[in-house]
Order: sequence, then C-alpha cells, then structure tokens
Amino acid sequence: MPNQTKRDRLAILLAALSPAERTDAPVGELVAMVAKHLANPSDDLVWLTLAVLKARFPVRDDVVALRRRLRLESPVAVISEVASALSALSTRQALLRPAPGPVRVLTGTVVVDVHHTARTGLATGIQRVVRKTIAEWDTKHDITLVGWNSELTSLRTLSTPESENAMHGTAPHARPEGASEVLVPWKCDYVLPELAIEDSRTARIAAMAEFSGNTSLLIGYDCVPLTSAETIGAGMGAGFSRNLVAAAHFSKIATISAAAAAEYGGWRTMLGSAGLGGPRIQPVFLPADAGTVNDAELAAARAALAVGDLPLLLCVGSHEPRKNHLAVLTAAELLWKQGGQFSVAFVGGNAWGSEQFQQQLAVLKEKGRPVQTVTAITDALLWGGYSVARCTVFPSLNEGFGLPVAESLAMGTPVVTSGYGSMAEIAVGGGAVLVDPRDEQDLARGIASVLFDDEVNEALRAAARARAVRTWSDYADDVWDYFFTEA
Amino acid sequence: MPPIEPGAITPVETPKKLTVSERLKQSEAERERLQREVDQLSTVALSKWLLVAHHQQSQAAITQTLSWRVTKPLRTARQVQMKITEVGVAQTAQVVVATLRKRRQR
Amino acid sequence: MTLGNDELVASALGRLSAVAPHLLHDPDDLPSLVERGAGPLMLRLIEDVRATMRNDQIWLLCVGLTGTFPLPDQLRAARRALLLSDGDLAFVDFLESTFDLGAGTAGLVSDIEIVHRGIVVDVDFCATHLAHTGIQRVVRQTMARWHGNRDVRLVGWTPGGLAMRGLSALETSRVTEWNSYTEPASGEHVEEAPRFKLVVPYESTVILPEVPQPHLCNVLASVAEFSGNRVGLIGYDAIPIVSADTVPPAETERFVHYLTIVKHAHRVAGISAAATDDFRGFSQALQAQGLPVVDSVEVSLPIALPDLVHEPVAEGVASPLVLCVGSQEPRKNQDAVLFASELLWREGLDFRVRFIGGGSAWFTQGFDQRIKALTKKGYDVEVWRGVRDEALLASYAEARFSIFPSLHEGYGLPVAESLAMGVPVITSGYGSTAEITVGGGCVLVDPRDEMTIVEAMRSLIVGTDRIEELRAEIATRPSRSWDDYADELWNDLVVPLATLPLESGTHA
Repeated sequence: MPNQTKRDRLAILLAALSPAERTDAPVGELVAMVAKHLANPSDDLVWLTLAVLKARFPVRDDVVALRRRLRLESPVAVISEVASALSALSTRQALLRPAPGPVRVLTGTVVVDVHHTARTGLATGIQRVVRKTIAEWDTKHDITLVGWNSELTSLRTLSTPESENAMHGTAPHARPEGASEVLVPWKCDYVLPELAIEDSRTARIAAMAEFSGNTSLLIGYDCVPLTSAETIGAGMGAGFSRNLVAAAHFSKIATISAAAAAEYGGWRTMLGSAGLGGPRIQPVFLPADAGTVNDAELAAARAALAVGDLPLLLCVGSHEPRKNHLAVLTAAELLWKQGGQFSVAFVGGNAWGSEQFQQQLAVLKEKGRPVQTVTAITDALLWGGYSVARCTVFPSLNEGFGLPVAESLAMGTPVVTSGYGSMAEIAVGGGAVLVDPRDEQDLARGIASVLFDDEVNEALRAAARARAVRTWSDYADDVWDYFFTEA
Repeated sequence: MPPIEPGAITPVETPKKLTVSERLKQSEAERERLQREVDQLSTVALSKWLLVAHHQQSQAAITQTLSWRVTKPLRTARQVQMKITEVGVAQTAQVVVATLRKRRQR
Repeated sequence: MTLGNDELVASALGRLSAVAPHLLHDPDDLPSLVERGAGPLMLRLIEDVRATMRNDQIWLLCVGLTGTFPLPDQLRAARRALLLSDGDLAFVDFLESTFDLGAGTAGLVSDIEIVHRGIVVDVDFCATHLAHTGIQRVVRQTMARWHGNRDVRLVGWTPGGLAMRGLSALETSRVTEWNSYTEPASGEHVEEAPRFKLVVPYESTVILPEVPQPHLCNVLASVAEFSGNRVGLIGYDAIPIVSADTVPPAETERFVHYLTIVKHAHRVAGISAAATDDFRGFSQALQAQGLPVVDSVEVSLPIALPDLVHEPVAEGVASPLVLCVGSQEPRKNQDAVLFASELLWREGLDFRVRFIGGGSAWFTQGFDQRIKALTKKGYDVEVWRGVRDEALLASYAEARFSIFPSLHEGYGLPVAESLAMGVPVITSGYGSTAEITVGGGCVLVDPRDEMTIVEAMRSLIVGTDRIEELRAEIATRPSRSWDDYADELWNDLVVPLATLPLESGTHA
C-alpha cells in the first residue's frame, strides 16, 4: 500500500471538516480551504488538524501551541508547514521513527480502547470486566475495538486475533496485522474500559478528551494508588495520577461500586482547585459469575485444597498487603490456639510486598498448622474451591469491588469480609458476615461463627442462595445505557 | 550391715512436722527467691537482647542462638513459679526432679 | 559507639521508666518494679499492654524499649506477637518481634522525654535547611509567633528519621528568628548533631506545618494511625495529583506517600478555600476504606507586606512595565503571557515585560530561547533571576500591573505580594487565586483561553482609567497579617485537636 501523501492527508482532513467540499483540488488550494476553517481556531479543529496532518495524536502542548500560532501568524503558512511536517523529516529522522501508516478518520462510531486487554493473557479483575463487557456489547451494538501503535502515539483498529483476545482472552500472543493505520476518531464516542497508565498514552488520551470534541467515557475501578499508596509499588502513583488527569476531561465514569464512586467523587472535588468540573460519576455495580463444577473437578479441588475432613476456610486473591492476608493468618492462629479444627487454603499468587505474609506462613507451617497456598489457579480449581469450602474470607483493606466476595456468594458459600466499602455493598444481598479487618480478634470471631456454628452457616447459605442474580449481560447493558442512553 | 548414723549419709528431706505459719514463711521465702531468680533471668534476657540489637546482628541469629537458649531457663523458672503457687514447694520440687530425670533420658 | 551490657540496660531502664506511668495498670507499682530491674519492669509492661491491646500503648511500648518510632509494619508485627503469644512467652515474642525495630539504632542508647498532653510541632526541614520558598515562609512566620507565646515543643528528626528529637539553639533560630539570626558561615562553626534527647509525644497533639520529607512519611503515617496522638496538618495543595502532568513523576510519587499521613490525620488547615477542598475531597474518598473523615478547615494565608517597603516610583517616560513574578514552569503558564504580549505588540501597543524568577533547566532552556526570539524581533522582554528583595520591590514599584495566569495554585503568593505592593494584578479566575482577588484590585482571566489574557492585558495597557480604578480598590482591601494567621491557625487547627476527647487508640 503506497504511503499517503501530504495531499492525501489534507484531503482527508478537509473531508472530515466539511464533507460537502471538493477535495480533489491541488495542495495549495486544499491548504487554503483548511486554513479558512481554522481562521478562528476552535480546539477540536486544531486537534483534528494535528492528528491527521501529522499522523500522530497531539499532546496538550501541541494543541495549545498550534492554536496560538494560528492567531499570531498567517493560518495558510502555518497549515502549510504542519502539512509538510512529515515529508519535511530529514532522512535520519524518517529512519529513526517508523513511517506512520495511512490516516483514516472515523466518524459517528463507538470506539473502545482495549489496547492492553488485547495483548495480555492475564485474567484478573480488570481484564475479566473488560472482556465480558465488550463481548456482550459486540453482540448487541456496533463497536470498533482499537488499540495503540507501538509508540503509543495514535490509535489503530485491532487485528482479528487481537480482537479475539480482547474479547475472550484466547490469543495472548496476538499481534497487529498489516500496515498500521492511524485511526482518528471524529464526532465519536471513545470508551476506555481498561486502566491506561503509560505516559505517552495517557497524555494523548487527555488531549483527545480535552480538545477533540469526541465524547470520552471511562469504566472506573478504584483510586487505590491515591488512597492507599502505602500498599502499592513504586511508579503506580504517578502513572495513575496521569490517568486521572485524562479522566478529568471525560464526560462520564461508570464506577464498579458506590465505594469506587466515593473515591472518584473525592478526587473530582479536588479538581475544583484547577478550575475543572470533572466528569459525571455513577456506580454501575459489577455482577458475579457462578461457575459450574462437575463431580471430578469437585473431588480434585477437595484433594488439592482441603485437609482430611477438616472444614475448609478458603481465601482467594493475591498476597499484596492491601488484601490483608496476614490478618487471616493471625485470626486463624488465634482460633487454632483455642482448639479450632479447620484448615486454611489460600488460592492466589505472590504479589509485591508479600514477604511478611510468606514469613508468617512459614512460621505457622512449621508449627504444623493445616495451612497452604496454591498459586496455579485454574477455573476448575477456583470454582471447586468455593464449592468445597465451608467458608471463604476476604478482609481486604481497600477494594473497588471484591470479586471473590461476590463469586463465593454466587456459589452459595458464605463469606467473611470487611464491613465497609464495596465489600459491605456486596454483602447487602445476604450470605456474608462483616468484620473490622483492622482488628484480628474481630476477624477471628467472624470466621469462628461461620466455621463452627452450624445454624449460622446454614442460614448464611440459604441467604446466599436467595440472592438476586446479576449477569454480565445485565452489567454490560447498564453501562451502555448510562453511557449512551441517559442524558 | 553397720548401723546408719545420722548425718553419715547424704541427708534426704524428710517432711518435718512444721507449724502452719512456719510453712507459710518457708513458702514465702522460696517464692521470693524464685522471684528474684526470674527477675534476674528476665533482666539478663533483656540485656542480651539489647546487646545483640546494639551490635546489629540479624534476626535469624537471635532466634537461633539467644532467645531460645536464654529463655529456656526463663520459661522453666516461670513454670516453676506458677507451680509453686499452685501446689506448694515440696511437690514442685518433686515435679522438677522428675522432669529433669526424664529430660536426661531423652 | 559500643556499650557494655550495663549501660545498655541502664539506658533501657530509663526509657521504660519514662513510658511506664502511661502503660502500667497500677502506676504506683513503678518504684518497686524499677528496683527489681529492667527485666521485671518490661515483663509487667508487656503484661499490662497485652491486656488492653491498645495500639497507642503498643506504639509507646515499642518506643520505650527501642528508642525508635515503629513503622506501620513493625507496629503490626509487635501487635501480632502480643496477640498470638501465650502469656508466658509474650516477653520473648515481643522482644523478637521488635528486634528489627531496635537493631543497630542509636535509639538503644538514647534517653527519651515524653510530652504528655502537650503540643509538638515538627519543623524538621526548616530547622535543618536554608531554603525559603512558599512553605518555609509560612512555617517560619507562624513559628516565630508561636514560639515563646504558645506552649509548643518544636522538634526535628534524628538522622534516618527514626525518632523525634529536640532542636539545637541554631536550629531553633532558623525556624523562629529567620529575619534576625545569623547563619554561621560554612566551616566557621561545625554544629555536630549532639546526642539529642528524643521527644516522644503521647496523648498529645502533633502538628505538621511542613510537607514532610519522603523518608519521614512512613514513620509519620504510623504516628498518625497508631500512636493515639492527634495529628494536624497545614494543607498547601494537591497539585502533584490534580495537575500530575505538570510535575515530574517523582514529585507525584512523593506526594501520594505524603497522603498516607493525611489519611490517618485528624485535622487539616488549608491555606485557601481551594486547598481546603482538595483535602476535603481526599477525605471523602477515604470512606471506601472505612476510615474516619479528616476534618478540613480553611485558614487562609494573609496578604502581608514583604519585609521591606519601597517608595512608589513615578511612571515617567518609560513604557508601561508588565511584571510577571514566580517560578518558571509550565503550570505557571508564562508562555501564555508571551503569546498575549506578542499579539499585543503586533497590534502596536507599547509596553515592556519583565519576568522575575527561576526554574528548572528542562523548562527554562526553552523558555529563554523563546524570550531571545522575541527580543530579536525588537520586543522589550527580559528575564531576571536570583534577584534580591530590593530589586523585586523596585520592580513592583515601577510596574503598571503584574500578571499571574497560573493553571493551578495552592495559594498564589505573587498575587498577594502584588496587592500588598499596591500593584493591580491579572490572575486566574478560579481556585485559590480567585479567592485572593475578592476585595478588588484584580482582573480575572481563564488561563486556558489565552484570548482572555490578551483582553485583560489590553484593558490595562491602553489608557489609565481601569488601572486607576483598580489601584483605588486595592487601597480599600481588607488586610490580614501574619499575626492574624498565626492566631487563626492556633485557634482553628491546634485548639480543636488539643481539646478532642482522648481516643483509646483501640479499634473494636
């Protein structure tokens, strides 16, 4: 495919600015026609001009600089220079920077940015939400899945394997195919359902949200890097804050719980000092899957996780400090010392900051306590674990949602969880015991009541079974309605 | 067999018939003596901890070498003290002797 | 410095005796326990603390034993040891759990002084550094007025940030006598860090008027969360979060760690309504973690005269001077001033522009080039850096107006300064700068729309009516002094904290 010329890009730009105008004129005339549109430069036109003519999404400074130049200098001269920027690159520069693919302006569509989800085999919280949601949307609505180019400077459509992986996670090594185009949304809806933290990407999303006139919409998970910075590794704080800088110019955020809405809401209050109003924020509560387990899988889970006939306390999730697994070990040890008969299985992986947990785990194992961790999780083992467990525990200190709580209850297994935030929201439907996760003794009491009191356990199971079912289809519909149907 | 003369053999504690108050005084004295031993042991334990901490030894070092060795007698002394409060000196002494015998056999 | 057993034990006994009155169930037992020795005293303290499991008591016991303030994980480890130990072994378990806290530290050989039901103010940075920008100015002005008049204890931190300590005379002067003390020339007087007495607040109020250095955030977060002391802060801004794109990533990283202190603090006094809302917003977000609200109250900075006052200079022949004071960086939006100036020069307006202030090379290099390009075109624009107060004041005296269209401020000292000098100012119409403009003398602009800046500048350069109006407004503005600020801060930040009912420090 031949490279686009300067004339091609001018024509594409003009076609987007003014579909009725002729675009087969010579370059000089095209420049003049574009310049006329930019005589009194509005931000969206400036953004579009840069994105198309330079085949590269601008950052804020780029838009502001061009806007000012258009006022100070002759628009024709400025546009001519911008249009020539690509062809004016020296040979060396052209060699260093990969030639941008052809520019294509997309209008009036819903564009969904799943850059990370398309390229990963991960199936943790965020990826699951993204995959389930866009898979549902794909069956009901017309959406365009997009990712970014390798430099993270412009959008492009996904290849078929990438789209497959984005929706189903079945092709983790998917790669882009064909010449990478530059996809420029214009009068579109841009949905960001995943977490973007790369600087180059968030800076361009921010400029697009602030200037381009496209409507930007976000799924908001949590603001943990802001509100629980002590529980995250280095680097996340800055990347996440820059994600929020972009979000400040979005129209709407659908948060996965009311607690997450409180976090984003608090952040939005802070925007006032920078003269920004921020987006609308509304919780759209996540659903929970209930997996299925056959008898063989059940037996396998029991063999892997349970210890003899001891009732099983299951704890699902990674061992990062925020999940508070150290408190689970302490509470369990308090109960073992009192003679409690039960075993504990952790299903999840090591994460940043889990050294203290590992140390304490080793101490307890040395004492001969029936506790183990399993890191290689298959779906069968996870759902089997929920089914085999007498009780699950999830005393997280800060969550956007807490999928293991909802999943446990969906499987009919009672859960002991934190008495505030999103976890308390999930618990409202029944089947959970709430505790203060910062008080190991309270946690122990909560666990003991579910493990050892048959009446309590049965009542909770009945309540869990009676919970209203919410499906991924419900969720995807609700988010779509909030984004596109509600005012 | 020659006749046994008093004092010729290692004396064995024969429970004398003491008055109640004399027995009480004896228990008190024993308790105070053991208390002082425990006090000393705890101060020694603390002082060793301070010394090792001051010289920056590793956590592993202290677990392996000091605390268990130092506190074994401390723990024993505490158990002894508690036993005395429960059952009196004489019986405790018997228990201690029996325990030590058992330990030597292991 | 190596010590023998006896000295270490004596040191520990001293510290434990200091904390004992606050931890013993029966404080009358203290003399006999001391006589029996450090071991028995420690045993009893552990027993009594274990009976309550109060975090503030565990915190104090850790400090008493080790002379070091525990970090959050260390306090939790000590707490866990007490929870999980059998009565007999609590002593052993506690010592093991606190070994890392004490190992290799100077705390083991230190004396401590408990400040009980008092007010402790952490001025570590001002005491040990000679920088004097925004935050330091606020701290030094306030402490000069509190020191000697209010019952406060000024503290710094030991090297490594292991414990609070008292200040030396020189350090105290750096904080409370900034305008009048003499800093010894380097080399002239080597002030060794003497073996300071460690200061341990308990059931007290701890005020953080500075933004603590990164290495202190963890230990202060622990103080706020566990020690039972009521922590109050001056809240300056949340720029590294809200405008994260305008600061280096490292600054945002530092700031989110500063927030780990804020999240467990009890009260924040914002330096403007906007800053107060920043912290109020952050506090709202904490609901999701079941944490109590951090009370936020506004105690606005004063508009005060700089320390030297200059006689106004007649404008005379020279064209009007437009003054732009402040550090040079993207957030301050100096490039918008350059744009507006160039556009107006092209219209034929006659005026000069002077920027006063410095900045980081990564920005000033480009900025200076843009200035050069303009001077090449014959426009009268210059940058002054490293100016002394006199030169700054002379510029204010000469200026027709000053301009400060910053994108985001916690307060906006240049605006207040300009007004205090009687010079009208163009500034941003939202946030903290807008608050300062209430009372008159200012023109508001939208810093994101440079055409509003053009309009505002034109209105003040062409003709003198508007300028005269503004100058008249300034003369009638209400004024507030640093005395007012220091008093208000005391009444609105310190007093409410000091009169809070004592928390038990326990949870559930």
